[in-house]
Amino acid sequence: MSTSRNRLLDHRFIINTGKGGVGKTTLSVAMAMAMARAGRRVLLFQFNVHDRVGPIFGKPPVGPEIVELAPRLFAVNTTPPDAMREYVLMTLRVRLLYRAVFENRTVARFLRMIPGLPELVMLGKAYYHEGESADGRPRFDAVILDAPATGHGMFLLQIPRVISDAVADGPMVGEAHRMAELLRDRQRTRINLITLTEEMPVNETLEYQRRLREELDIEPGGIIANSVYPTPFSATEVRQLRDLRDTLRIRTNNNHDSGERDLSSMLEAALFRDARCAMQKGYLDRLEQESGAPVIRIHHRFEPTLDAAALEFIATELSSGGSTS
Amino acid sequence: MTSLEQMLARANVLVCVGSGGVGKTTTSAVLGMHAAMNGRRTLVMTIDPAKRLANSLGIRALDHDVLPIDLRSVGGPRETLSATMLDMKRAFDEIVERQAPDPATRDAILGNRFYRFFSTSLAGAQELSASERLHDVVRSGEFDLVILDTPPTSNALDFLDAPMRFHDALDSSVVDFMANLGERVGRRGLLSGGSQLVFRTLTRFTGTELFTELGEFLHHFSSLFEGFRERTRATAALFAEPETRFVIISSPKPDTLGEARYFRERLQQLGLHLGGVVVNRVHQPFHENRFAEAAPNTLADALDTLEGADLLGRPQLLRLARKLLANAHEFDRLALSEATAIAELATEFGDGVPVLPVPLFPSDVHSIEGLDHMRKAMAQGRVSSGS
Repeated sequence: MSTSRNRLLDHRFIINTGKGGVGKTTLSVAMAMAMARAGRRVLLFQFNVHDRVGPIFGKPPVGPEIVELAPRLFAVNTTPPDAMREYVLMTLRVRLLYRAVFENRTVARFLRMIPGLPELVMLGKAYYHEGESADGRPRFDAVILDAPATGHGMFLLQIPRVISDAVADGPMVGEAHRMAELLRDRQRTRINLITLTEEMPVNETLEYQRRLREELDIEPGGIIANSVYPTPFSATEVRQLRDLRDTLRIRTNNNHDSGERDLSSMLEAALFRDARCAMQKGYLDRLEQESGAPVIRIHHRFEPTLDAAALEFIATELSSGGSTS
Repeated sequence: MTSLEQMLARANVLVCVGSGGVGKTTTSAVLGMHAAMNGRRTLVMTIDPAKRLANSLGIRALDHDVLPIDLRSVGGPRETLSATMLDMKRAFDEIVERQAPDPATRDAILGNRFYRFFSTSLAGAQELSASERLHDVVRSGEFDLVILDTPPTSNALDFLDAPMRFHDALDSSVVDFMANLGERVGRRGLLSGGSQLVFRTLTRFTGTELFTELGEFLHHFSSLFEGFRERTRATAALFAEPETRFVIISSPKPDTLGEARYFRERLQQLGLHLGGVVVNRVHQPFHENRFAEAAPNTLADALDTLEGADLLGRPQLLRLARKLLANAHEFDRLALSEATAIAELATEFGDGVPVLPVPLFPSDVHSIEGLDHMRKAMAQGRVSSGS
């Protein structure tokens, strides 16, 4: 299964993180599709979201119970209380005690106030499924996390805060250390920073990468630049188009022929496309230079809504390790 | 009247809401710029983390203080536009400083290691700080218009619910519970059977130290609650004034526009006022272009009439024509579905709510000149007469 050509989908535990609106969910679903297609049993793990994934597969929104959306493609949408309950039950092994203590409203509220605890138990649940076995073999071949965009996408950074800011000793510290270790384990875990090739997402991605390195000693597996325009026009063609546009401009200044206006807007659209491509290229270069990490490109899709068919295209792109142009 | 003017005309507070990545900060800056160009003393308030407004305004640093933005480079006034960045931690510090009953309590809160989490990360804390600062600035009377760029949330609705959630999280029952436990743990053995079970079970997960320290923190922190409640009521009153208007910033994607619908319903339920919708990054249509459905040959013929085209051979012209058509089709596909979705939304929202599409620009907006360019594009949108 593992090839050096595409390390993107080789890991057992994949965390997709990035700021809101960059397409984390889209890419997470496409990754899951690509893996399931390749015969692996994969769990798509979401954090307390208004689920959009179930409907893509013609199913109801995904909730806290694991469901199979397509052959070998499973999904779950966990919440802090759900994850807390599972974690505590696993540790306590006494359901009655759990009910008596943790289902108390006041206690539940108190637990929400412990810094980093919700993140910790949700990540813990995800790692549990990664190591879970059924019938003597792993239940899933891979778990993909669609990380929450809250806290400016700095979800993972909440974990060590448990240690540094709030808790000096006790089992939570042990758990937090264990999680930090797992996040650093590059054999099992791959963290992808997902971004758009635009000023602010790029700034934030580079900042996040720096903080992951400095605060968590984590080296992200790579950066995925989503929604990159394919460049249909070569540099020579762009020059030709620009020349043609310029001569047309001189002409249309003298007469207002609608045919020429239409011709002009065809040319302008091409140059518009080229300008956006050039801008994106600039940000891709910057990402590569400043991150020192591999940057994988996923092409922009011109479909108005991303249905299962469009996601299949992205899945194929991901299977081949993204575009490299 | 243009849609942009309508959006600004009746408001002295504009709250810009929307999900992440829709250009909320940039749009807030442009709205502020337009009002300032027309002579209104305007403040744009944004949220710290990404130094976004600083980016948009092309200035290096913008801090907690109110800074004037000189618009003379784009033919505007020197002093009518101001901007400020909300430093969450500092805004919350100020709340604590103002509302703590005495210096000892204030220091106990600010010095506690739980404080940073409570003031920045607990659900609703950011929104609480933002609303509080907004309230202060509006009541200062220094500005004719204040524009608030709301914290980044994955969901536009979070901003309305956040203060509620913060209060919910800090419900006094938790504080009493902690205070009780803490006090009784201090005198070992006095816990009743039930409390002892709770305490023992919880500390298996948290350790005892966390328990006692958090209890102590909450005990001090609870002295601020009455103040919080009072200020939240005051902010809620400000939000409900007819001159406070919410502007939904959206992308033209169907699911984001769907969120705008949902947001409008929530505003109506809460008796708040929707000032308009700005739909950013809209693709331009080609379907009225006579070449859109033409054969590559026809377009190549048209190109061939241009001076300089004779330098290109027929095969080259044909290849260019094919690519031009493919490019136009790709954009047109998006443009058509976007235009339909926006038109539906505008009809549904009615004449009183301007829906303003803003085109996708060839490059991103992050300079004063870029903002002015966007402003001019927005100023062209007219309010349609009739539905």
